[in-house]
Amino acid sequence: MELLQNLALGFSILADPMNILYSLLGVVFGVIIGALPGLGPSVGIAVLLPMCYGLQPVSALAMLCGIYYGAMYGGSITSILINTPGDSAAIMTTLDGYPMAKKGQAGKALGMACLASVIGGTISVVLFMTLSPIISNFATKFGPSEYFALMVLGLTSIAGMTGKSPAKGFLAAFLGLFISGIGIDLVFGSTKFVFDNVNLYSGIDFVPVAMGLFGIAEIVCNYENNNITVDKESIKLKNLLPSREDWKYSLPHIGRGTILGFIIGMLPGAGATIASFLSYDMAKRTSPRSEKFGTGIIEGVAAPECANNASSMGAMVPMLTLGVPGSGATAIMMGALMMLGISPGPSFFVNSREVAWGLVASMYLGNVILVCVGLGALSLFVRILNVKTTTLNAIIFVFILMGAYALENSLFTVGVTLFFGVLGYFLKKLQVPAAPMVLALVLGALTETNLRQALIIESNNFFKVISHPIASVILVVAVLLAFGTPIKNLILKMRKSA
Amino acid sequence: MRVTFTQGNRLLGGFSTICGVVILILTKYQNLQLVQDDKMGPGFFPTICGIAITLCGILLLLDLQGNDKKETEDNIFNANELKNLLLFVVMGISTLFLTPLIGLLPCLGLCVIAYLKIQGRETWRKAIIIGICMTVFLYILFVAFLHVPVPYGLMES
Repeated sequence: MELLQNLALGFSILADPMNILYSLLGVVFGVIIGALPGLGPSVGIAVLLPMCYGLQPVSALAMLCGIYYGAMYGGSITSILINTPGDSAAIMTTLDGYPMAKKGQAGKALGMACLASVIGGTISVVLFMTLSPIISNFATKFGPSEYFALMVLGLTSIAGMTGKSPAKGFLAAFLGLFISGIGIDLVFGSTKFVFDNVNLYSGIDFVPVAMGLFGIAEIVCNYENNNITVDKESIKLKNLLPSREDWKYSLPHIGRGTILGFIIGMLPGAGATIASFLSYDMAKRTSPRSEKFGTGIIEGVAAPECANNASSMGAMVPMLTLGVPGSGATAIMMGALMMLGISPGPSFFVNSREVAWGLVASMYLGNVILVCVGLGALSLFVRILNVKTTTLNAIIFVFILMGAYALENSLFTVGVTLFFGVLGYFLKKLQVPAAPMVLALVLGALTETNLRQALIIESNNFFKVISHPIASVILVVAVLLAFGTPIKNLILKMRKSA
Repeated sequence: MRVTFTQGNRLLGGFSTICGVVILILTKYQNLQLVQDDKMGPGFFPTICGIAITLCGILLLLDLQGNDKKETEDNIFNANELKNLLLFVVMGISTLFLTPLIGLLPCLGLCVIAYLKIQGRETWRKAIIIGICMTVFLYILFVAFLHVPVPYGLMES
């Protein structure tokens, strides 16, 4: 009852038309920023941060939250339409989203991405309200050992992405793992594969790699008018929305992906990218049509999209309840809160009750606005496919180069993107999957850092590292996920022969 | 360039094996140790990766020997795709070298014009208009709005 009263208080604060306007502004801006290759929610929030000066705290937070989940959805637009993920969290959406676009179902894929994002976001707000005090305590129990186990769990999803040739999949994964290790060693301070190149000291970011492997490789292969055609009839709203059958296949994955995304989002450092990878993998393992994943099926879009939006809500939990930002975007958001004279932390919901519940209400409102903006502009997005392929290729190419430059304000990143674009083309021709490389690149550095920190804490005793209760449960799940199917097949084979 | 899928796989296997060995040699050459001061050393992960990449390469080579006949003999590369790739590479490298001279945004504008003219076979007028519009759009979005400090080349001084 108290919960509902607090929520009512939040909505009464949010009822000011200016708050609604700022939320709308945030969502629209977020969708645009998210759709630009290489730019994610952190950039969007950072850009609009100066606008927060002088605003009411609730207005400022409504706008910043709007950018956050707007950008999460925006990343899927370019993933689906042109196979270029807008941000790292949208990489998995390319796997089924783009094949759907090729089959003439771009609108349906975009519609599902939007609705799955909104459902994931809305359920997460409910989880946020009810579970945040309990779960934030649980999240504090995560140390390097637990994070290492979580990263191993993430890496097991590579097993599901290897395609026809496991050797090629694992080759891509180990290349990614190797690239993730380039830079300065965090424990000893020695340089690894840097060769006195200053640009390599901070390592290679996975965003230019993903833009090259997915984006440039795709436009190289699309040298003539593609087979994606959009007629007037197919961009009517009723044709863009998922059918009842699509919902039947997608809803269970949306439910699971949302909960998974929310939990992953709460863990500092884990983030939306890992949430979307794991959600896609879980959907692939549990779907009755698992063999069709990667060929363009609707649940392949729904699963990662709901997870990445849910994780953005989850990331708010440690930021608001513990004062520990779990991602770049929440770190900037925390800066905004402090700028407005509000201190996030355990007493946030008590000391800043009105702001806190206004923020919760703005999350609901933001999701409603997202569905209106997303579905309203759907036909506009789909029309991109009617642009002549060569014109679209030229525009995408310069956007990718500009996005790569804007990441670190360095031409070196542009060179990296170009290099991985060429590599991506050859890998594509040889049917080497690019997703394991990107996943390993994302998780590799985190796995190494957490393992080494855990080993230092546990006096270099590996068994102590993996015997932490939470870590051991996660590792058992990881082993079961990686080897469950071969073991099951072996048992069945043995039973048959007996 | 004619490369069948089988030949491509062979090349990939060979290249991966060499790549893995090079990683192992470089790990040793840079004195990145597996264990240092009784702790996991900076060479631990690179060594694992080097070994695994070599093994994957060998597996690809071994796998081929048994499956040669099953593999398709079609050329995996397409002349138009290679021309497209070459065009993008030339445009990208030109951008890297010309940016310090004329700035990033004019370079990108030139890329659009060059691509539309060569690959799109558009008229000069259309290519130039799209190129200029794109440059202006990038300027408004990235420089005026997002405040990305783009290099202006010699114009800066």
